Amino acid sequence: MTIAWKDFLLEIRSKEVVLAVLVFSLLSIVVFNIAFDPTPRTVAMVAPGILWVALAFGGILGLSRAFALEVENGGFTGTLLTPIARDAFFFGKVISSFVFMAFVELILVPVMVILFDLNIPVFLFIIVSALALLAVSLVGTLFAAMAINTRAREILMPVLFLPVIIPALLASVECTEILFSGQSSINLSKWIGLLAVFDAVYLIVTPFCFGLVVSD
Amino acid sequence: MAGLLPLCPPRRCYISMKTKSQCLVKVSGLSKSYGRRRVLNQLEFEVECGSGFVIRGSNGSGKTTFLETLSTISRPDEGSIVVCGVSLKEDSAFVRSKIGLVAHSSYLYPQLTVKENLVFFSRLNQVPPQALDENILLSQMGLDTRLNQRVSTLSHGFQKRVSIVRSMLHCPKVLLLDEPETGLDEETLSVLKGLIKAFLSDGGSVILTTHLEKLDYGSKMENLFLKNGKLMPLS
Repeated sequence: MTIAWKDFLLEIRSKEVVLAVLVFSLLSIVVFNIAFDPTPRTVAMVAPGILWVALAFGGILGLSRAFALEVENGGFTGTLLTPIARDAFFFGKVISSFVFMAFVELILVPVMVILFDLNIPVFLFIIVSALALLAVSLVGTLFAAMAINTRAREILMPVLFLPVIIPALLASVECTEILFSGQSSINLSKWIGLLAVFDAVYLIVTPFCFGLVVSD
Repeated sequence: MAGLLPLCPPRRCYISMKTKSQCLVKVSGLSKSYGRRRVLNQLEFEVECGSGFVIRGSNGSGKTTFLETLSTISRPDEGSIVVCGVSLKEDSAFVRSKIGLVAHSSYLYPQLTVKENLVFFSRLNQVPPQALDENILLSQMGLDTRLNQRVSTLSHGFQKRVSIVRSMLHCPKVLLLDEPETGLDEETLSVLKGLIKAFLSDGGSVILTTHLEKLDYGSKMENLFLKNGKLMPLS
C-alpha cells in the first residue's frame, strides 16, 4: 500500500497518467461515434469494442507514463534498493494502475451511455469491469516494467502488451456486448468465468515474471 | 560525533564461528562484464567492522560498477557477495537491509517533497516515519527547513544531502558512497566526513569511491586502487 500511496501522491501532483488515459479514451470514443452510425442495432455490437479498445490503448499510454515517472531521477532504483519484496512492489503498482483506470472508466462509461443511449445493468457491469481492469493492470504493469529501460519503450510496450491481453479483451468485449444487448445470462456467466480464469493465470504468472525483470 | 546517529542501535559485528573474524562484507571471485569489456575481474575483497575504504581509479575503471554490484542494483556475472554472514543469492532482501547507497543519481521522486520521499523510504525500510521527527541528521544536513520543498526544486547539492539521509534511514551496517563529494560544498563535505567517522566508530563500514586524488577522508580510511578489474593498495 505504501507503493500505491506514493503513486497516488505522484498522480495528484503531476496529473499525467489519468489525464493521458482519459483524454485518449474520450477522443477514441468521439471518433468512433463519428465513424459509426450509432443506430440501436450497431451500438450494441460496436460500443463494447470501442470501450475496451479505448481503455486498453489508453492504459498503454498511462502505464508507460507512470513508469517513466518512476525512472526519472532513479526513484525506481531507490525503491529496488530497499528490502521490499518484488511481488509487493508489483502489486502496489497494480493497485494504483487499477484505481487510475477505474477512475477513468467512471467518467468514460457515463459519456458512452449519453452518446450511445445505452441501458447498462450496473452490478454485472461492475463485475466485468473489475475483472477486465485487473487483467489490464496486471499485464500492463509487467510489460511497462520490461520496457522501461529500453530505448523503444513506446513501441515495445504495445507490441508486448496487446498479444497477451487479447484473450481477456475478447472476453470483456463479449461480456459487455451481452450486457448492452440484454442477452441471456448463461452466455454471460461463461464469458465471465473465462475472464476470471485469465485473471487467475495473470495473477500467478505476472508477479513471478516481474521479479525476474527487475533483477538485473 | 556519535550523536549524529542517535536512533541507530550499536552495531554488533558479525563474528564468523569458523574464522572468528569480524567480517561484514566478503566478496569472492567477483566478475562483471559489459559486452566484451571485463570491468571487474575475479575481485577479492573483505570488509571488517569499523573499517573504511576509499576506492580510487580513473574514469571507467569500474568503481561505480563495483558499488552497484555490492548494493544489488547490478547482478555479477560470477562470484559471491556475503554481507553479515548472508549470501546475496541466499537472501538479497536481507543484504539490501544492511546496505545504504549514495550514488550519482539521488534515487528520489522529484515531484514529492523531501519529507514525503523520506517517509516513503522509511516505510519501505520498515522504519516508523515518526522517527524522522527525531532524526538530527536532517538538521546537520540543513534539511529541517526544506522538508516541505519538492525535490525537483532543490539544487543538486541539496538533493545529494537528501540522498545521504535516505541511505541512513534504516541504520545500515555498510555505507556505500559513489563520489559523494560531487555537488557538495565545503561545509556539507565536512559534515559528511564527520558522519563517516561516527559511522566507523559505531562499528559500521564505509566503502566510497572518488576520482579526486587529493581528497582525504581521514586516517581511518584505507586507500585502494581499482585497475584492470582488481583492487590493489594505492602504493
